[in-house]
Amino acid sequence: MRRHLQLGIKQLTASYADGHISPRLVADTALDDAVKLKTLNAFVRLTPELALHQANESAHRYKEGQIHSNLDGVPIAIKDNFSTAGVLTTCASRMLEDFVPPYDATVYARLREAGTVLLGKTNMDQFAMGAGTVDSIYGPTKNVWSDDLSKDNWRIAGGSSGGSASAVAAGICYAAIGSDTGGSTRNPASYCGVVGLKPTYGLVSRYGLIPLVNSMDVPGIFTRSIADCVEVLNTVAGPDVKDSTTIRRPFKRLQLPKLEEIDLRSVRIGIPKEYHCEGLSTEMLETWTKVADLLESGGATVRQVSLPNTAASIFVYTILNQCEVASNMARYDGIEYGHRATDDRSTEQLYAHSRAEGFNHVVKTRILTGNFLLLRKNYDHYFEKALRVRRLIAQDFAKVFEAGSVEENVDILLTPTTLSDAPLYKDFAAQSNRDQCAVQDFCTQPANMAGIPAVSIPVRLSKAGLPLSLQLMSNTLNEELLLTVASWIENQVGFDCLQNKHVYEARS
Amino acid sequence: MLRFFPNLRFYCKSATKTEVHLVKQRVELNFKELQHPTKVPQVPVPTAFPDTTERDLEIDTKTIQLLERLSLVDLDSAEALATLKSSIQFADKIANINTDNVRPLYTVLESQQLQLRNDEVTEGDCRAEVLRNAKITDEDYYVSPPGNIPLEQTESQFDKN
Repeated sequence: MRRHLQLGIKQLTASYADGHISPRLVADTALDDAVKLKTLNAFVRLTPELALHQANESAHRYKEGQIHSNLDGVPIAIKDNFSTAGVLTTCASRMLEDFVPPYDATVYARLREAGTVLLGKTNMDQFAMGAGTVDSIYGPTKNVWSDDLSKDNWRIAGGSSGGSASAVAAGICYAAIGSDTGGSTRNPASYCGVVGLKPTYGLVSRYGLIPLVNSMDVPGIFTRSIADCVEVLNTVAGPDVKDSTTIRRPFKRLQLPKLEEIDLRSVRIGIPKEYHCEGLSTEMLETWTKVADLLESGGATVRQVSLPNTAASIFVYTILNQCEVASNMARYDGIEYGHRATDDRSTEQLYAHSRAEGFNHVVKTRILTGNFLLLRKNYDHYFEKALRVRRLIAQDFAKVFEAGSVEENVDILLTPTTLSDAPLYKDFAAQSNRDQCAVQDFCTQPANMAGIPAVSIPVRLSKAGLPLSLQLMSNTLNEELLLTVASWIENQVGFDCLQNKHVYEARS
Repeated sequence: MLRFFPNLRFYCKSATKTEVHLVKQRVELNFKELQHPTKVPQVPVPTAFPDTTERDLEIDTKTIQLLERLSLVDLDSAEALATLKSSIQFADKIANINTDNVRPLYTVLESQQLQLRNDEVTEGDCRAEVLRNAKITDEDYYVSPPGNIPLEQTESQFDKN
């Protein structure tokens, strides 16, 4: 059996160092597993040659005692909206079906320099517009926790970074990179039972991440434990001259206290009441309630707080998303790169046809709606108005984290990530993309509005045998405390990310 | 270490034999049992947003054609029009929120000054790489059909509904 699977990254690289296992073997096994678990459709493209090359180089470095980092030789996967030099980067769209970037996204460049092994590019909703990984030209990604993977009886992986979540959940790789604009990392992490971190806006470079909503996009991190998440964040975070929206303050590597040294007595936890919205499942409510109770028993101060503008957030998010999409998608015209139609009557005709053929209906409708909301007569009423309400939403967070007296403040907010466990594909597909996102992103997108960090951690299994996860949020750049509390909860609940039958069957 | 061996996993029985001494018996959490009065609201917190679906939303053919010209994508079906309408109604929900004296928040990094770099060439000489992704090139040029011709639009295009 694959014993190394259950290791954390630190333990894996320690066994590389003492020669118990080689990066080459682990990469081989990972590629093998990816093929065996093809039915999940986690990857849109495997990069076996590159992976084996990188694994060999890594093995060599271990032999010479010249490893590049704590991540040397660790198999990873990258969402297909991050540019990878010489490797197709499609955004799961027809528009970029043939696009081979000439450069690496900073996130991947840093992981590559750290010595990681790239297994491949992962599936996603087209241009990251979705909450299910069901709108991809490569077909949907299935949730590894589904009882039945046949026909349309399976559960969705969540989205839009469902492929990355799925690859980590299935034990194919140790970490994966996703992106998070309104919850696209935390949502699939929640459904697939893995850790999903959305860092502070600007902490991790967006250079080479094909943009969806520039003012909210952040690269996200998937792992099977908080400790692994810290390792990856420490590798990818920090200022980047190629992204002027990165925070210029030098990045201080996170160092979490040892488990037994975590003292919750100085930690104040807030329960924002508005996150109990209509549609929250009983099991999720029970999970939220229990973990709040555990934290209180662990010595933390737990109190209810109010973020009054929360419920408006989903409307604001949808408006801003569509407006920025209308602008961002203008770059796709079929001339310099991307799908090119055959219509050559005029430039405009060529643009229109290339775009009509290259985009799916979700992308098209968001562009059209965005342009409606941005029309001269509508600009103030919708776009500017939404930006004003966005400030109110951000101020809500600032108030509970910063303003007021010590008695009123909190350090961490605890909420559900999604409203329920993973829906069945057939139920999910019956809704429109907008309704899917409006429901699935309710608890996650407020953090993107304010730019604050948030992490989803799995807590337990539902009656249907699917992961139930909770979200923690903290003030800007307070990732260290955020992940410390998350690791405390992780240890209390003892969720086993790999304990499901499909992970087992593929390897026996 | 405990984190990684919280219990015996069925899929690696043989492998964990040597680690058994590390396994601390975990007490199964009872999710129905609480030690403190809960701070988590047990009923949904009601919200009050206007029902904007009542308002009759008319989008005339002229506006649709304008949107299609601006977007350079086609509104290709009655379904797409319905989605557009419902998205606008969805956006109307925030119309009544009081935002007097609230400035728009364009970026969460508004307190950080945007840094300008020196106007110097730092990379380049990559013409072949850049042109490689274009479908049609001629010598060192991108090729496009004649410009300055307005998009052809027909009213009937949208009479499908």
